[in-house]
Amino acid sequence: MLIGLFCATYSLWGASRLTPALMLDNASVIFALIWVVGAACAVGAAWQAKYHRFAALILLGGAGLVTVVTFVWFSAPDLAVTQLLVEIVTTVLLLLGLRWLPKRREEISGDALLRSRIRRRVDLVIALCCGGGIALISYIVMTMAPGNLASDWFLEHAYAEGGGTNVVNVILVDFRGFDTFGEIAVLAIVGLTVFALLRRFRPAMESNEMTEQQRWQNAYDDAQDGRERGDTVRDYLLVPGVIMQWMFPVIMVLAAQLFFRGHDLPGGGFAAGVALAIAFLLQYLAADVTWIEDRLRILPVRWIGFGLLVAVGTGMGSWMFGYPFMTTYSQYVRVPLIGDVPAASALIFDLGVFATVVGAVVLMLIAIAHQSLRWSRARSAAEEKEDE
Amino acid sequence: MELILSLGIGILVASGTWLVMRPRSFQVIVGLCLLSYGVNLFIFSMGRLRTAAAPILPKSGEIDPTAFTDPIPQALVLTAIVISFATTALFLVVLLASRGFTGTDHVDGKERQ
Repeated sequence: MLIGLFCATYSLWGASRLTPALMLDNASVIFALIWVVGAACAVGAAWQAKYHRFAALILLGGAGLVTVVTFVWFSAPDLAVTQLLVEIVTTVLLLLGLRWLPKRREEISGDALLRSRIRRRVDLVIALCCGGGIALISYIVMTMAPGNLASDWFLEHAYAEGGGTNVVNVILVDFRGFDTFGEIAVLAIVGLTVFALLRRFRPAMESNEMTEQQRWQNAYDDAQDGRERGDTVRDYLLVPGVIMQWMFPVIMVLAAQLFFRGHDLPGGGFAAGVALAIAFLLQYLAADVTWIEDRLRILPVRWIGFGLLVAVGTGMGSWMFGYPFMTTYSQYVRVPLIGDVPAASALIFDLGVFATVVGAVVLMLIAIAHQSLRWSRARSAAEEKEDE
Repeated sequence: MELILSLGIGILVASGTWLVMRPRSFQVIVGLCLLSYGVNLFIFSMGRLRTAAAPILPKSGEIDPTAFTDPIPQALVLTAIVISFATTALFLVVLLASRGFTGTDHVDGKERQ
């Protein structure tokens, strides 16, 4: 951790003092330092994942951020935006899962036995072989001269035939639209599977009890005069909570911006969908689940259904004009005050992608988050029965 | 640059592979996330590394394909990022459910004797 911190400070401190003439030489030094941090995070996550799950999760996020920086560095702004947003939802997802895992003590019976030691050594060798092999392959390919004619075709035809200047987005929603349709179908199926599995979810008995923090909070509230149970939870992180609630419209606008610029500039349906899902998620984090659900009813399954229908409908629309499935049409429409807005039929397809991503991400995260609520309800019902 | 990134990919894949072979469910999830970073960067690097050549075209004039980086690996990785989130979520839920059924977070469903 200390080495990673030191390298991060050094790379940032060095960056501000760079002169443009030295940029070429120093750029690779900075990049190397960034990857020292990335490697430290990856190895640290591998090291800590057994006993210190939270630390491993944070280190995993560090490795993800280094990946984002790499995407930015090597001219992939679309990937960087999407990876950064997905990073946020992955971390929240795993944090929600932590509560249901068993407590882990430093010693496990049989952990120091010869057999497990040998096994760990063997696994280490296998892992090092895999890593070394893939590093070698990627180095060889990266240093070979590029000879890809297919991407030249995409670059030459993206604007003329797809009507968008962001080639990555044009490939996704136009040239390879059918693939993307398959992807969002997978996403929808996974979302529904998670939802269905969690409806019948029976967590282990030991995780059903109140967490230690909840017990402290209740004990504190009981001990003080004029406080009811739950007051501490309500006051907890009040200021960040208010800021998160006020961020809601701002993130909505950001999602809309990402969506509409997607065809010409970095952004698009995937990134916008995850951004809107984060907006909903922040509301859940900022306030009580029951409070938020009284005011905001998100129906993720309908979002998914709507998204898939829009995507299929856009694809079938081209039949009416005698073209094959998912042929797109594009032009610019002049909107007063805003200017020329790209209005390709691919944009409607992207709307389908957007809605499916929002629905699937929100469905998965809310389904996991609801487990705690469900079990605390079951617990208080059981307590009431005992009191009678 | 190429050397640094390939070493980075190697370390991500090595840590991920090590964790995937561990017996506890949380280790496997973290391992899969690390592996997905490594694989995404690997696919992305197949388009060769170019700085300041984002595939955003100018609106007018001739298009010179050599002035831009390869967009195909980027398009592949973009969907892979979202799909890998979905598989992580599915995997987490399957492991939580399996822990509920078996009472342990060992991937085999029972502690090794």
